[in-house]
Amino acid sequence: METRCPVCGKPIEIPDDAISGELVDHECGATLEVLVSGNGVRLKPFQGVGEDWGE
Amino acid sequence: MILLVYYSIMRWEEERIASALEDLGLRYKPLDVSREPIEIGGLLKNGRGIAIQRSVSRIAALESSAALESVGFRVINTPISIAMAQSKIWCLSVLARAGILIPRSYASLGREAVEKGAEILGFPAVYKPSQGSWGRMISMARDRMELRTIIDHREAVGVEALYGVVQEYVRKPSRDIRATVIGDYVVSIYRVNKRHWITNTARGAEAMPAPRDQELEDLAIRASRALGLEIAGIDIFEDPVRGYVVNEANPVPEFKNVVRVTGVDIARIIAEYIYTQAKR
Repeated sequence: METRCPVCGKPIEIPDDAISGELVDHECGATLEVLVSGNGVRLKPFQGVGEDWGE
Repeated sequence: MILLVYYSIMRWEEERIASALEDLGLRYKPLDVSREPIEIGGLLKNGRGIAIQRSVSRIAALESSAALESVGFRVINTPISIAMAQSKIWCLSVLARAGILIPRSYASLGREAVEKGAEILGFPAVYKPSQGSWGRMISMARDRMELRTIIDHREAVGVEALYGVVQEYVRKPSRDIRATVIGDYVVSIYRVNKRHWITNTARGAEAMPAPRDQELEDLAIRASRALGLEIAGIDIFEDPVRGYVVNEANPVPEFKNVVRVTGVDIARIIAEYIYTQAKR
Protein backbone atom coordinates (compact mmCIF):
# COMPACT_ATOMS: atom_id res chain seq x y z
CA MET A 1 0.00 0.00 0.00
CA GLU A 2 1.11 3.55 -0.59
CA THR A 3 1.14 6.24 2.06
CA ARG A 4 3.16 9.39 2.64
CA CYS A 5 6.36 9.97 4.54
CA PRO A 6 5.56 12.13 7.59
CA VAL A 7 8.98 13.78 7.28
CA CYS A 8 9.16 14.81 3.62
CA GLY A 9 5.59 14.22 2.45
CA LYS A 10 6.58 12.13 -0.55
CA PRO A 11 4.95 8.77 -1.32
CA ILE A 12 6.31 5.62 0.29
CA GLU A 13 5.34 2.05 -0.46
CA ILE A 14 4.55 -0.12 2.56
CA PRO A 15 4.28 -3.92 2.24
CA ASP A 16 0.72 -5.17 2.66
CA ASP A 17 1.85 -7.53 5.40
CA ALA A 18 3.67 -4.85 7.42
CA ILE A 19 3.27 -5.12 11.16
CA SER A 20 3.50 -2.59 13.98
CA GLY A 21 7.05 -1.94 15.03
CA GLU A 22 8.48 -2.73 11.60
CA LEU A 23 11.01 -0.16 10.48
CA VAL A 24 11.20 1.17 6.93
CA ASP A 25 13.66 3.57 5.39
CA HIS A 26 12.56 6.28 3.02
CA GLU A 27 14.62 7.76 0.20
CA CYS A 28 14.62 11.10 2.05
CA GLY A 29 16.75 9.48 4.74
CA ALA A 30 14.10 9.12 7.42
CA THR A 31 13.71 5.87 9.31
CA LEU A 32 10.02 5.31 9.95
CA GLU A 33 8.11 3.04 12.29
CA VAL A 34 4.96 1.33 11.02
CA LEU A 35 1.91 1.65 13.26
CA VAL A 36 -1.04 -0.60 12.41
CA SER A 37 -4.37 0.11 14.10
CA GLY A 38 -8.07 -0.21 13.40
CA ASN A 39 -7.82 3.04 11.46
CA GLY A 40 -5.25 1.62 9.08
CA VAL A 41 -1.53 2.07 8.75
CA ARG A 42 0.44 5.16 9.59
CA LEU A 43 4.10 6.01 9.89
CA LYS A 44 6.02 8.00 12.43
CA PRO A 45 9.70 8.94 12.57
CA PHE A 46 11.54 6.27 14.52
CA GLN A 47 13.35 7.73 17.51
CA GLY A 48 15.30 4.80 18.79
CA VAL A 49 17.78 3.77 16.10
CA GLY A 50 21.23 3.38 17.56
CA GLU A 51 24.16 4.36 15.43
CA ASP A 52 25.42 0.78 15.41
CA TRP A 53 22.09 -0.77 14.49
CA GLY A 54 21.72 -2.77 11.33
CA GLU A 55 23.13 -5.71 9.49
CA MET B 1 17.86 -24.48 26.64
CA ILE B 2 17.48 -22.14 23.67
CA LEU B 3 18.05 -18.42 24.07
CA LEU B 4 16.71 -15.98 21.49
CA VAL B 5 19.05 -13.06 22.02
CA TYR B 6 17.94 -9.58 21.03
CA TYR B 7 18.68 -5.97 21.81
CA SER B 8 15.86 -3.58 22.79
CA ILE B 9 13.46 -4.53 20.02
CA MET B 10 12.04 -7.78 18.71
CA ARG B 11 11.85 -7.16 15.01
CA TRP B 12 9.62 -9.04 12.61
CA GLU B 13 12.41 -11.57 12.08
CA GLU B 14 12.79 -12.35 15.79
CA GLU B 15 9.01 -12.69 16.20
CA ARG B 16 8.93 -15.16 13.33
CA ILE B 17 11.84 -17.21 14.68
CA ALA B 18 10.11 -17.35 18.08
CA SER B 19 6.90 -18.60 16.45
CA ALA B 20 8.80 -21.19 14.41
CA LEU B 21 10.58 -22.51 17.52
CA GLU B 22 7.19 -22.84 19.23
CA ASP B 23 5.75 -24.64 16.20
CA LEU B 24 8.54 -27.22 16.48
CA GLY B 25 7.77 -27.67 20.16
CA LEU B 26 11.05 -26.07 21.20
CA ARG B 27 11.02 -24.04 24.38
CA TYR B 28 13.06 -20.88 24.26
CA LYS B 29 13.76 -17.87 26.40
CA PRO B 30 13.93 -14.37 24.90
CA LEU B 31 16.91 -12.48 26.29
CA ASP B 32 17.07 -8.70 25.89
CA VAL B 33 20.75 -7.99 26.46
CA SER B 34 20.05 -4.27 26.87
CA ARG B 35 18.22 -5.14 30.09
CA GLU B 36 19.77 -8.38 31.35
CA PRO B 37 23.45 -8.57 32.40
CA ILE B 38 25.45 -11.70 31.65
CA GLU B 39 28.03 -12.72 34.23
CA ILE B 40 31.23 -13.35 32.29
CA GLY B 41 32.39 -16.87 33.04
CA GLY B 42 29.55 -17.17 35.51
CA LEU B 43 26.65 -19.49 35.79
CA LEU B 44 23.61 -18.24 33.98
CA LYS B 45 20.62 -20.23 35.18
CA ASN B 46 20.59 -23.39 33.03
CA GLY B 47 23.58 -21.90 31.28
CA ARG B 48 23.94 -24.55 28.62
CA GLY B 49 22.42 -24.96 25.23
CA ILE B 50 22.14 -22.81 22.16
CA ALA B 51 21.84 -19.05 21.82
CA ILE B 52 20.53 -17.58 18.57
CA GLN B 53 22.16 -14.20 18.18
CA ARG B 54 19.67 -11.68 16.74
CA SER B 55 20.70 -8.34 18.26
CA VAL B 56 19.95 -5.36 16.05
CA SER B 57 22.91 -3.59 17.66
CA ARG B 58 26.11 -4.77 16.02
CA ILE B 59 28.21 -4.12 19.10
CA ALA B 60 25.70 -5.84 21.38
CA ALA B 61 25.64 -8.83 19.03
CA LEU B 62 29.38 -9.28 19.25
CA GLU B 63 29.82 -8.57 22.95
CA SER B 64 26.84 -10.58 24.18
CA SER B 65 27.90 -13.54 22.02
CA ALA B 66 31.31 -13.52 23.70
CA ALA B 67 29.76 -13.33 27.16
CA LEU B 68 27.25 -16.09 26.42
CA GLU B 69 30.01 -18.32 25.11
CA SER B 70 31.90 -17.81 28.40
CA VAL B 71 28.84 -19.06 30.24
CA GLY B 72 28.73 -22.23 28.18
CA PHE B 73 26.29 -21.49 25.40
CA ARG B 74 26.93 -22.53 21.84
CA VAL B 75 26.19 -19.23 20.16
CA ILE B 76 25.03 -19.07 16.56
CA ASN B 77 26.94 -17.31 15.19
CA THR B 78 30.12 -17.51 17.27
CA PRO B 79 31.64 -14.23 18.44
CA ILE B 80 34.79 -14.76 16.38
CA SER B 81 32.70 -15.25 13.24
CA ILE B 82 30.61 -12.19 14.03
CA ALA B 83 33.74 -10.12 14.57
CA MET B 84 35.25 -11.30 11.28
CA ALA B 85 32.09 -10.58 9.34
CA GLN B 86 31.43 -7.20 10.95
CA SER B 87 34.83 -5.86 10.01
CA LYS B 88 34.81 -5.27 6.27
CA ILE B 89 38.60 -5.41 6.19
CA TRP B 90 38.77 -8.65 8.15
CA CYS B 91 35.90 -10.20 6.21
CA LEU B 92 37.37 -9.43 2.79
CA SER B 93 40.78 -10.60 3.98
CA VAL B 94 39.41 -13.98 5.08
CA LEU B 95 37.46 -14.40 1.85
CA ALA B 96 40.47 -13.51 -0.30
CA ARG B 97 42.65 -15.92 1.66
CA ALA B 98 40.06 -18.65 1.03
CA GLY B 99 40.38 -18.06 -2.70
CA ILE B 100 36.99 -16.38 -3.05
CA LEU B 101 36.76 -13.57 -5.58
CA ILE B 102 36.18 -10.13 -4.01
CA PRO B 103 36.17 -6.63 -5.46
CA ARG B 104 39.70 -5.14 -5.58
CA SER B 105 39.98 -3.58 -2.15
CA TYR B 106 42.57 -1.72 -0.09
CA ALA B 107 42.56 -1.61 3.69
CA SER B 108 43.11 2.10 4.26
CA LEU B 109 43.84 3.28 7.77
CA GLY B 110 44.67 6.92 7.27
CA ARG B 111 44.22 9.84 4.92
CA GLU B 112 47.22 9.09 2.75
CA ALA B 113 46.36 5.41 2.54
CA VAL B 114 42.83 6.22 1.36
CA GLU B 115 44.15 8.56 -1.32
CA LYS B 116 46.82 6.13 -2.50
CA GLY B 117 44.35 3.25 -2.62
CA ALA B 118 42.00 5.25 -4.80
CA GLU B 119 44.82 6.39 -7.08
CA ILE B 120 45.85 2.77 -7.65
CA LEU B 121 42.29 1.64 -8.33
CA GLY B 122 41.31 4.69 -10.36
CA PHE B 123 38.10 6.69 -10.18
CA PRO B 124 35.28 6.27 -9.47
CA ALA B 125 36.27 4.56 -6.24
CA VAL B 126 34.10 3.39 -3.37
CA TYR B 127 35.14 4.28 0.19
CA LYS B 128 33.41 2.77 3.19
CA PRO B 129 34.16 2.45 6.89
CA SER B 130 35.37 -0.96 7.96
CA GLN B 131 32.68 -1.01 10.65
CA GLY B 132 29.20 -0.02 9.57
CA SER B 133 25.73 -1.20 8.76
CA TRP B 134 22.70 -0.54 6.58
CA GLY B 135 24.98 1.05 3.99
CA ARG B 136 25.86 4.00 6.20
CA MET B 137 28.70 6.22 5.00
CA ILE B 138 29.36 4.18 1.89
CA SER B 139 30.53 6.79 -0.58
CA MET B 140 31.60 6.97 -4.16
CA ALA B 141 34.29 9.45 -5.15
CA ARG B 142 34.29 10.33 -8.83
CA ASP B 143 37.58 12.16 -8.61
CA ARG B 144 40.40 13.20 -6.27
CA MET B 145 38.62 16.35 -5.07
CA GLU B 146 35.47 14.49 -4.08
CA LEU B 147 37.54 11.91 -2.24
CA ARG B 148 39.34 14.61 -0.25
CA THR B 149 36.03 16.14 0.78
CA ILE B 150 34.77 12.74 1.95
CA ILE B 151 37.99 12.16 3.89
CA ASP B 152 37.63 15.59 5.54
CA HIS B 153 34.20 14.61 6.78
CA ARG B 154 35.40 11.18 7.98
CA GLU B 155 38.28 12.76 9.89
CA ALA B 156 35.79 15.07 11.61
CA VAL B 157 33.63 12.11 12.61
CA GLY B 158 36.53 10.07 13.98
CA VAL B 159 38.81 7.15 13.25
CA GLU B 160 35.96 4.63 13.08
CA ALA B 161 34.65 6.52 10.07
CA LEU B 162 38.11 7.09 8.58
CA TYR B 163 39.47 3.54 8.85
CA GLY B 164 37.99 1.66 5.99
CA VAL B 165 38.10 0.00 2.64
CA VAL B 166 38.79 1.71 -0.65
CA GLN B 167 37.30 -0.46 -3.31
CA GLU B 168 36.91 -0.58 -7.05
CA TYR B 169 33.46 0.39 -8.27
CA VAL B 170 32.03 -2.85 -9.64
CA ARG B 171 29.81 -2.09 -12.63
CA LYS B 172 27.04 -4.35 -11.50
CA PRO B 173 23.71 -4.43 -13.36
CA SER B 174 21.65 -2.10 -11.09
CA ARG B 175 21.40 -4.87 -8.55
CA ASP B 176 23.28 -7.13 -6.23
CA ILE B 177 22.43 -10.54 -4.80
CA ARG B 178 21.65 -11.35 -1.18
CA ALA B 179 22.19 -15.04 -0.55
CA THR B 180 20.75 -16.08 2.80
CA VAL B 181 22.59 -19.12 4.14
CA ILE B 182 21.37 -21.40 6.93
CA GLY B 183 23.72 -24.36 7.30
CA ASP B 184 23.76 -25.88 3.80
CA TYR B 185 20.55 -24.18 2.68
CA VAL B 186 20.69 -21.11 0.44
CA VAL B 187 17.96 -18.82 -0.88
CA SER B 188 18.83 -15.82 -3.00
CA ILE B 189 17.17 -12.58 -4.00
CA TYR B 190 18.10 -9.68 -6.21
CA ARG B 191 18.21 -6.24 -4.63
CA VAL B 192 17.44 -3.89 -7.48
CA ASN B 193 18.07 -0.16 -7.39
CA LYS B 194 17.77 1.63 -10.71
CA ARG B 195 18.06 5.07 -9.13
CA HIS B 196 21.23 4.63 -7.11
CA TRP B 197 24.34 2.46 -7.11
CA ILE B 198 23.87 1.42 -3.45
CA THR B 199 21.73 -1.72 -3.40
CA ASN B 200 20.89 -2.23 0.29
CA THR B 201 17.15 -2.68 0.74
CA ALA B 202 17.55 -0.46 3.83
CA ARG B 203 18.56 2.23 1.33
CA GLY B 204 15.63 1.85 -1.02
CA ALA B 205 16.50 -1.11 -3.24
CA GLU B 206 13.64 -3.35 -4.29
CA ALA B 207 13.78 -7.04 -3.46
CA MET B 208 13.04 -9.50 -6.27
CA PRO B 209 13.32 -13.28 -6.41
CA ALA B 210 16.44 -14.65 -8.09
CA PRO B 211 16.54 -17.96 -9.98
CA ARG B 212 18.39 -20.80 -8.29
CA ASP B 213 21.99 -21.11 -9.40
CA GLN B 214 24.26 -23.88 -8.12
CA GLU B 215 27.43 -21.86 -8.69
CA LEU B 216 26.01 -18.98 -6.66
CA GLU B 217 24.79 -21.25 -3.87
CA ASP B 218 28.14 -23.05 -3.65
CA LEU B 219 29.91 -19.70 -3.49
CA ALA B 220 27.63 -18.43 -0.71
CA ILE B 221 28.26 -21.59 1.33
CA ARG B 222 32.01 -21.36 0.76
CA ALA B 223 32.02 -17.75 1.92
CA SER B 224 29.96 -18.58 5.01
CA ARG B 225 32.21 -21.48 5.92
CA ALA B 226 35.38 -19.45 5.41
CA LEU B 227 34.06 -17.06 8.05
CA GLY B 228 32.64 -19.79 10.28
CA LEU B 229 29.11 -18.44 9.87
CA GLU B 230 26.22 -20.90 10.23
CA ILE B 231 23.55 -18.31 9.49
CA ALA B 232 24.56 -15.50 7.14
CA GLY B 233 23.53 -12.99 4.55
CA ILE B 234 26.17 -13.00 1.81
CA ASP B 235 26.18 -10.01 -0.54
CA ILE B 236 27.39 -10.82 -4.02
CA PHE B 237 28.02 -8.64 -7.07
CA GLU B 238 27.77 -9.75 -10.67
CA ASP B 239 30.91 -8.45 -12.33
CA PRO B 240 30.56 -8.30 -16.13
CA VAL B 241 34.00 -9.88 -16.61
CA ARG B 242 34.81 -11.96 -13.52
CA GLY B 243 31.33 -13.20 -12.69
CA TYR B 244 30.35 -13.45 -9.04
CA VAL B 245 32.38 -11.49 -6.49
CA VAL B 246 31.56 -11.56 -2.78
CA ASN B 247 31.35 -8.11 -1.26
CA GLU B 248 30.14 -8.57 2.31
CA ALA B 249 28.89 -11.06 4.86
CA ASN B 250 26.26 -10.26 7.45
CA PRO B 251 26.32 -12.35 10.64
CA VAL B 252 22.84 -11.33 11.87
CA PRO B 253 20.95 -11.13 8.59
CA GLU B 254 17.57 -9.53 8.18
CA PHE B 255 15.27 -11.62 6.01
CA LYS B 256 11.78 -10.13 5.86
CA ASN B 257 12.27 -9.10 2.23
CA VAL B 258 13.58 -12.56 1.34
CA VAL B 259 10.44 -14.13 2.80
CA ARG B 260 8.17 -11.61 1.12
CA VAL B 261 9.47 -12.13 -2.41
CA THR B 262 10.38 -15.84 -2.32
CA GLY B 263 7.76 -17.24 0.04
CA VAL B 264 10.52 -19.27 1.71
CA ASP B 265 9.90 -19.55 5.44
CA ILE B 266 13.38 -18.57 6.59
CA ALA B 267 12.38 -18.50 10.26
CA ARG B 268 11.19 -22.09 10.03
CA ILE B 269 14.45 -23.17 8.37
CA ILE B 270 16.43 -21.42 11.11
CA ALA B 271 14.31 -23.13 13.78
CA GLU B 272 14.83 -26.52 12.11
CA TYR B 273 18.57 -25.89 11.94
CA ILE B 274 18.61 -25.01 15.64
CA TYR B 275 16.63 -28.20 16.32
CA THR B 276 19.23 -30.36 14.57
CA GLN B 277 22.05 -28.60 16.40
CA ALA B 278 20.31 -29.01 19.75
CA LYS B 279 20.01 -32.75 19.12
CA ARG B 280 23.79 -33.14 18.74
